[in-house]
Amino acid sequence: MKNFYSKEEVIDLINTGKNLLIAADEALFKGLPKGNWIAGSIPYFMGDEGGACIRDKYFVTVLPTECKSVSIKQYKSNELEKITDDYPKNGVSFIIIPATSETHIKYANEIMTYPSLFNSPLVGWISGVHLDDLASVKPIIFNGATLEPSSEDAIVMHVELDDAYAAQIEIINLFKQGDGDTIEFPNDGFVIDNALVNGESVNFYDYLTSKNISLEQPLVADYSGAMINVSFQALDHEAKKVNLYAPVFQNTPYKLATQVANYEKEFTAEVNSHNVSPIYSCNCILNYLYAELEGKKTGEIKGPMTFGEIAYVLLNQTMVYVSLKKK
Amino acid sequence: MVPTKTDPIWKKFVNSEQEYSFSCLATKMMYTRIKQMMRNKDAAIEAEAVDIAHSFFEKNINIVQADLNLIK
Repeated sequence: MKNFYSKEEVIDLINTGKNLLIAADEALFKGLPKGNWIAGSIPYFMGDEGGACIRDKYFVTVLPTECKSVSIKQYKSNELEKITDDYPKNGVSFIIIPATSETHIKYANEIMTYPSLFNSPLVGWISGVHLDDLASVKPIIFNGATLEPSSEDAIVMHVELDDAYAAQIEIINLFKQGDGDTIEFPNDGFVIDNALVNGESVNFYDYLTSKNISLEQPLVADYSGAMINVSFQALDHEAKKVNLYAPVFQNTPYKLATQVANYEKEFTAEVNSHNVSPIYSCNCILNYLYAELEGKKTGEIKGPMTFGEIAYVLLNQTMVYVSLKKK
Repeated sequence: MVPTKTDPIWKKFVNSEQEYSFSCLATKMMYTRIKQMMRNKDAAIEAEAVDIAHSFFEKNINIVQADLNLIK
C-alpha cells in the first residue's frame, strides 16, 4: 500500500472523506482542507524504500473501511483524564502528543493510573522535529477538523469500528532484560539522581559512567511478560543526573537491556514471525538512529519514526502496531 | 462469558501473586497496574482493582478471551 503522498494527493484523500492519520514535516500542514484527519510533525519514516528522512511528502495512514465513524478531540494537559470517557464503544483511539510539551510529561507520568485506560485500545506517538531543528522548531500536532496546530495539546481520533471487528495493539521490542543488576528508583520521573542497584543506594550517573554503560541500551521493565523500555536521553555531567525519554516508576525493577546485534535482521525475523497486517504502526527515532536504519527495511511494517510510541502508556525504542481481528 | 463483578474470581485475581502467561499486551499492562495498586492492600483499593479487572475483560472480551480463560 502506498504511504507517501504529495500535497495534491492528500487534499484529494481529505476531500473524499477518508479518515487519515498524517505524519510530515511541520511546515507541510498549512493549506490542507478541513476533514477527518489528525497529524503530527516528524520527518523520519520507515517506508517502502526503508528508513528515510523526507521533508516534502506526507506519510499517510488511510484507515480502512472497517472504521465506520470517527470523532476528533483535542485535549489540554489538564483534560487527559477525559480521553477514556470519550473511548468508542467498539473501536480504537489514535493519539498524537507534541514532544516536550506539558501534556507529554503529564501523560507519561499519569496515564497508567487512569482507571479506564485499558478498556479500549489507545495507540499513537509523540510528534517531533528534524534533529537539526531541535533548538529552533517546536513539535506540533494538527487538528484536521479545526485546522488548528498546537505545540501543547494532545489530539485524538476516536474510531468506531464495524461491529464485526475488534482492534488490538501489540508491540515488537527486540530489547530484553539482561541478566545484570536489578535497578529500582526511589522516585518516579524523567530525571534521575539516585537508584537502588541490587538494593544498594547509588548515584545513578556514577553507576552508569563507572560501568561505561552504553546509553543506546535502554532500561527494561517486565510488565507481566511485556518488555517495556525506558531510553536514556543524556547524562547531565554538571548535576550528575541522568535524563530519560520516559519516566521510571517506583517499585518497578529495571534491568539494562541485552545488546541487539543486527536490528534490521532480527526485527525482520520478528515481524515475519508475527504474521500481521497492521492498519497502523510506528517505530522509534532512536531505533532509526542507533540501528542506522536509513535505507534499511524492517519487514513490511511501515510508519513514522517518532519521539515516543504510545501503546496505552509511553514507550521508547519499540515498534507499536494495531491490527483488526474478526470477532 | 465474563463472570459478574461479584464473582470471587476477581478478588482472587487481583490478590494473586501468580505470573500468568497472558498473550495480549493490554492484559499484561492491566495486570501490571493491578499489581502496582495492590501493594497497598486495603478494601477500597481492592474494590477499585476488581472494577478495573472486570471492566477490562468485559470491554475487551473479543480479544482477551484466551487470557480470561487463564484466570478462571
